[in-house]
Amino acid sequence: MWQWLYKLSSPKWFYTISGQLMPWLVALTTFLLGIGLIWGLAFTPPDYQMGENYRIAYIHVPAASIAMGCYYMMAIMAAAFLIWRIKMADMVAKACAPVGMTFTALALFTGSVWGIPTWGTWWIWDARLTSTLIMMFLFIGVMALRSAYDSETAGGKACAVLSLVGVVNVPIIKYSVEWWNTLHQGASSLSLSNTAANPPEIWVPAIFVGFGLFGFYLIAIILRTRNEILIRERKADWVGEVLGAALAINKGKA
Amino acid sequence: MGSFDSFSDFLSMGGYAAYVWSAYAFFVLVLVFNILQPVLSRKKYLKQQLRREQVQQERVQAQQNRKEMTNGSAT
Amino acid sequence: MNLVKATLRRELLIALRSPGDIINPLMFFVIAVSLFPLGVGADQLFLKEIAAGVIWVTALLAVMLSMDSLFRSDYEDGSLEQLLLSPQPLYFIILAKVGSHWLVSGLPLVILAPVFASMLALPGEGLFPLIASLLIGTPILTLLGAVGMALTVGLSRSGLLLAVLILPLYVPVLVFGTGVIDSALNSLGIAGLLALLGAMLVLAISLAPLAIIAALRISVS
Repeated sequence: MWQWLYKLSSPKWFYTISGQLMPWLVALTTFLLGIGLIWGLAFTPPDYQMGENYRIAYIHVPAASIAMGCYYMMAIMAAAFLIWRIKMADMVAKACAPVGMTFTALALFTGSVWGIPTWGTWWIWDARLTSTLIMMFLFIGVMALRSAYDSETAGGKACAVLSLVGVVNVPIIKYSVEWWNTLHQGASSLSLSNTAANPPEIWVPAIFVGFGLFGFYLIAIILRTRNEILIRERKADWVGEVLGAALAINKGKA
Repeated sequence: MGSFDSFSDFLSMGGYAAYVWSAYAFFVLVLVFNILQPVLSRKKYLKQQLRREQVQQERVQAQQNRKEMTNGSAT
Repeated sequence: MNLVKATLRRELLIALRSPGDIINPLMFFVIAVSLFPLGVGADQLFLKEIAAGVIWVTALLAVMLSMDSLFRSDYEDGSLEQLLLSPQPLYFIILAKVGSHWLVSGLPLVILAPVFASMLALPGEGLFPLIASLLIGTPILTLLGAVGMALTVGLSRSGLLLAVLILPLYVPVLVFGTGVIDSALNSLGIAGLLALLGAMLVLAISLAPLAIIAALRISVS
């Protein structure tokens, strides 16, 4: 286990292994997302309460939980970078911020679109929407801080500190927003989480979409991390070889 | 077709078409963005590296030419 | 302990010598609060509804704006670097620094707040909860703000960046701070909420200085 982690912290090893894994991951993700989405969109029966509109939940729920997971992953990478000075961890953390931000944006958009027919308005200060909104602000903060630093290492460390401060706050924020919501408007009448109490033909496709979207999340992180490796390690011999090969292909095309 | 009677029925989503399909459109947008952005930036970076390599080659070539010229004038 | 005392005295003296740094955030608080009735109308019933929220949000922004003077001059004249190199226990020095900053920026806000709360028609039974919640809440805001300030002190344009970094982190304090007052006005118990705020303060006191030290090391390197 430790040895494996140690290997993973080597950019070269990560680059090679992720390159070999990529086709499998893409195939698996396409399969899971394809089955889950077709099943969820066309074959599951409509919800007795929300009609066909509940089909939005198939993407909303996994997007929101993956965005949350992405923040925790960024914080773990931040800790690894600060404590053990693993450069790979910072590259992954850097990849997490934009991916996490787009996933929170997706969760917010789908949530509010779902709300139009359900609540009669696209935005209410529902506990989940509100804490997702604040989650997006946290991602934006990390990205803004990184872009403000000229030095790659200093920026990475600053973002790591901010992510760690943020991760202590995330559960408190979630708890406070939920408490605030019950104080100010009582239990919200219809929540997307109600879908959890549904029969298997509704939640099985949700599992397919969930794992598929998680696979996609991994692909997005890996793609960005690989770019970052090529840029930051460009002086290493093995990157020179990789670049040389890639350039040769590019030349051939041109 | 599954829980729908016809394809047009499927498209209309029981009157929720605007909501369901715009949500899925945004979903596709997020997927495309997260793939396209790293792929494009990789291409851009490779192109940059290629240009740098070319400039370097030209510089070496120019140096060699200059050497040959000075050698030529000496003899 | 002597060191903490010395740091406190030094910081307070410096603050008293440049009163603008103390007074401007306070003036911001006073003026911003006064703008609300002009914007939303002077209907006493409506003002009463929003008073707690207005005072809390404005106080929160004032604390954030006051942060700029915390590490800035120490960073510019190089004494911050010396501080980080010194063999003294940094944790307590930083805590003393942030504490003295709160004494000159947060505490005056707590003292002024009841006056402006009554101007916004906050009922009398809301005043004690307001003071108590601000007294426990504003030190948390100062500590979190100090983390953001430590992260951005080395950057040239950091004013708005600081807001983007720390305002989301202020959410729980705002929620529970105004919650204390709302609960009191609805004749519910406030001890639990105050204890919750207190727990957050303890958490902030124990963890924030560590983050501040790490952030300052990054900024001066």
